[in-house]
Amino acid sequence: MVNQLQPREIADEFLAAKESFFQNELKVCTGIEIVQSFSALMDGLIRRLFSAGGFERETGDKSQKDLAVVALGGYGRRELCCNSDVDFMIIHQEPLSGEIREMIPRVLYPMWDAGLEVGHSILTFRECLQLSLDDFRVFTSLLDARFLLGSPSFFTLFQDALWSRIFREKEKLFGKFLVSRKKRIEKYDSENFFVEPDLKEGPGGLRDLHLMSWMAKVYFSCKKFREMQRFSEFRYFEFDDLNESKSFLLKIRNQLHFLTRRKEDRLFLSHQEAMAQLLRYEENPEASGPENLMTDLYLHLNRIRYGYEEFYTKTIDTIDPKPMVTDSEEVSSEFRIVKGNIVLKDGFLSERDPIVILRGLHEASQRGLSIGSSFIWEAKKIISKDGDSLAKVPEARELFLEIVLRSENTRVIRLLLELGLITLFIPEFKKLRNLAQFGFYHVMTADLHSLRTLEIIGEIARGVYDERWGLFREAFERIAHPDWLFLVGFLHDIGKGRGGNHSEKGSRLVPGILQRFDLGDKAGKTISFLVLHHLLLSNISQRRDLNDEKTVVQVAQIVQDVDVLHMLFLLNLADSFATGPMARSDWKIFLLIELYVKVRRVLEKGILATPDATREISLKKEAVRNELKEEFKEEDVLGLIEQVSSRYFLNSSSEEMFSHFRMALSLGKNAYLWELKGIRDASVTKVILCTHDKPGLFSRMVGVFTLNNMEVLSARIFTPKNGLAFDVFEVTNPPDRFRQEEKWLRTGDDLRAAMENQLPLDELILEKGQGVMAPAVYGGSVKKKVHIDNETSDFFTLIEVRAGSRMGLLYDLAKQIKVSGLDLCSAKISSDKERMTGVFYVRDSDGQKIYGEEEIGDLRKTLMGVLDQPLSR
Amino acid sequence: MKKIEAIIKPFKLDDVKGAVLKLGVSGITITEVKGFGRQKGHKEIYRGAEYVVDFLPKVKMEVVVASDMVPRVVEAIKENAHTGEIGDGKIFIIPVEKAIRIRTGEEDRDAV
Repeated sequence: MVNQLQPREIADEFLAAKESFFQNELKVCTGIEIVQSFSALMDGLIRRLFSAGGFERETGDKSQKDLAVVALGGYGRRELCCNSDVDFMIIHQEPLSGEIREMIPRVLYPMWDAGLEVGHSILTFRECLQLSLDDFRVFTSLLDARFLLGSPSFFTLFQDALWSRIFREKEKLFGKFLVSRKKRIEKYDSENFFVEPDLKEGPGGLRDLHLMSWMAKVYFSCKKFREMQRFSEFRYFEFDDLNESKSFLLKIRNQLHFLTRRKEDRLFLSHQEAMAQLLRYEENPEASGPENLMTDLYLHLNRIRYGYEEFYTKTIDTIDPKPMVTDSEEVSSEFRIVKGNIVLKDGFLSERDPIVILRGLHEASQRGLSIGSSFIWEAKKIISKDGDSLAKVPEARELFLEIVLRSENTRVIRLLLELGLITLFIPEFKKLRNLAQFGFYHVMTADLHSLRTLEIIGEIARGVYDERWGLFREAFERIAHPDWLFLVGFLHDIGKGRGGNHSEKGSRLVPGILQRFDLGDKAGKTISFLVLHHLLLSNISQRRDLNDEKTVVQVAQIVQDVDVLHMLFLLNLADSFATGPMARSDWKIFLLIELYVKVRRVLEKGILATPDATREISLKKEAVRNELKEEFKEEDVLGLIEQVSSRYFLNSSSEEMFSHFRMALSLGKNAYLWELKGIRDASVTKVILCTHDKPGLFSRMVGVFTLNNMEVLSARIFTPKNGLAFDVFEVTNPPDRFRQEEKWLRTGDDLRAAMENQLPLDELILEKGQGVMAPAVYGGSVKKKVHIDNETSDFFTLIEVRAGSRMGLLYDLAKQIKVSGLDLCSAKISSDKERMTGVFYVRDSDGQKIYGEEEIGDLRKTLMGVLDQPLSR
Repeated sequence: MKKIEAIIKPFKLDDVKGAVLKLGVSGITITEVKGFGRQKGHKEIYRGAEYVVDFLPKVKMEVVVASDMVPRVVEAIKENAHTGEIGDGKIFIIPVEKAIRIRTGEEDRDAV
């Protein structure tokens, strides 16, 4: 026992070594080297601690011969990440001797004190075997068991017993493997987890690799995954690529553990910036550092995910070799169907003309089937080697185009991408491959987003959305060339990944692409136009007052043709649906529909409403008179009509007018009256409000809604001459669906207090922003913008703002607008957890637009000041 | 340092526990409790007879964490205990003056 260190000193030495590991290996080594080196460090710690406790390394303990210390799970595989649990097991035959019992705490305590998360178990041989069958997680951790110290022969004995049991049960186990993955994918394969992927459990994560290596052990007796190569079925399997992807994930995972100082496996948005810096991903003209990091990450996750799926299909075929003769059907001289897959009738793909690849895919696409895995692997090899000559064959191009246009069979379209056929025929698509877009807004990489858009257009055509949105299919059926819509769905983002304005870049690329497919000039022109304007309708509908005639006319002037409008509308819808939940909220879809319907009316009827304006106003006044004649004195109604501006009548629906007039005539001494109307089945409420006009009414309203966790989506404010205010707000519903009524009552009380200056809104909103659970801030990278526009509207100055979201931002802007002496007449706001964009239609106190350069400069500066306030306080 | 006390539906315990442990919280205390919130007096009909269910079984979970961890832990509990139905539970955050590990006498951050 000379020179023997105390357990505490051993742990301290380990911590020092770990620190040096962070400074050296972690920075320069590959992922696989990192985990191997860290596992070795841990082996050293555990061996030394046991040895300091009196344990003889080779022979075990004198008091206990049949005992082994075994590393499990990731640690057993020598893939221990730097903050992962250290799982090990002490397995023994006879009851534990007193010496060993005393020794175990002397090993564990220093490990705990060193901040390690230790998962230890002490089991007898029999207990362990039993547990391995009862508990799937124990079972999988044992598959990677590795001897650390104690009796090697005892460990071998245990392994033999375990594996003979596993081989006996392996058929039953197959189901368990599948269920475990299914459960995992159910939880992790969602849009949330796309933007912030879990490196371990997510689809394409490390767990998929573990699963493959476990199956290789159980079903093919391959101790190392790579040994699978000796099976002819797996000769084309991409072991090297998978290994590279594994190393990449391990590197990122260790860096993430290091950065977060815990076993964090999920790459949250808030870490992506710092991770990009740690891993030296730099900004280039095409993408930011985090986007470049995520693009690489998606490449590897996708590779593993599809690698797993191929592996799984092949494994099933191999371990379940029963020929299913009844299922085999000949479909042509070249192909037959086996188990729902198109496969070659005989021979190998490599012996055929490469065109057979496209014929096979086409066959599968038409029949709604998939493709056999050998076919896929062979095809991939051929395409990467001789693809270029295939791209020149006219038949190949025709078949490719037909598959794309017949998009119902999404598996085949996806295969086109995975096999590299899309980038072969459309090399411009390469820039979209795995292209990540930093933030929550886009929930897919650009390539998958394009495929998803195509798929959604197919769904619209098939009537999938009919129940809720009948208009979609109606519009689709009016289109003269549905194929063009599919093509533009596929190509609308083709300009991405090239820096600058992707719509413009894309529209310039389109003609060249279409020429290669021999599509006529007219198609080229139209599709190019659609790509250029593919964001027009959603941008305008979310940022302009749709009640302003000029808005609609301007769009009609750009679009010009009603057939183009139908396509633009459907493209916009499909694009929004494919982008993510923030882009496809009911509210945004309603706005899009409203704009489409209005522009369509202008294009179809060709009449501008302006000549009718006077008539429309008098009709609406008449309607109000009729509606209210039994409830109120006619002179009161007429008197009120006189006070109200023409703009009000032009911009309000009958429902709003009747409510406003009713409330105005019965307001009396009330601070306000309101009516709440649900908007179809969206979670939005229209608040029709009548109150006494007060300075800063808009900011008070925004303040009250913010305080009650409702978001203001739009506002229209009219001030009749008699000192009243007629407002219409559209706000999101209170978050608690079980207590809507109660929440509205409370909001109403707050509003009353705010009107009477009894509610310290500034203070309360500030406090809300500082709370422990104030929403996390994500909008740090949003580019701030204040744009002042006198062109769009004839009567108002438009203020457009964009900034990262924060609690109370809209409230602060509303206050600033008031302080600047401006009257707000309408506003449209769209905000999510990342960004807020808002458009405010304002006039000065004389009812004029803001023209003076100095005034505009000042206004921009003060508003920018509001946007510049820190996102979190 | 804060104590986070969460009253949750018993069947959500595993999910919540897993998510909280993933954040590096090293200790959790669990108590089976009974109580009611907004659903008090809620009547249930069981085999034709009407029962007033006033105390519902819940799990109370307590963890003590450094203050900067609070939002993360609360978020994890919220996300995992959520069903969107009545009775999902509540979370309370309470300041902790001092924490001491009995075995070593370590205090505060070192003790949790």
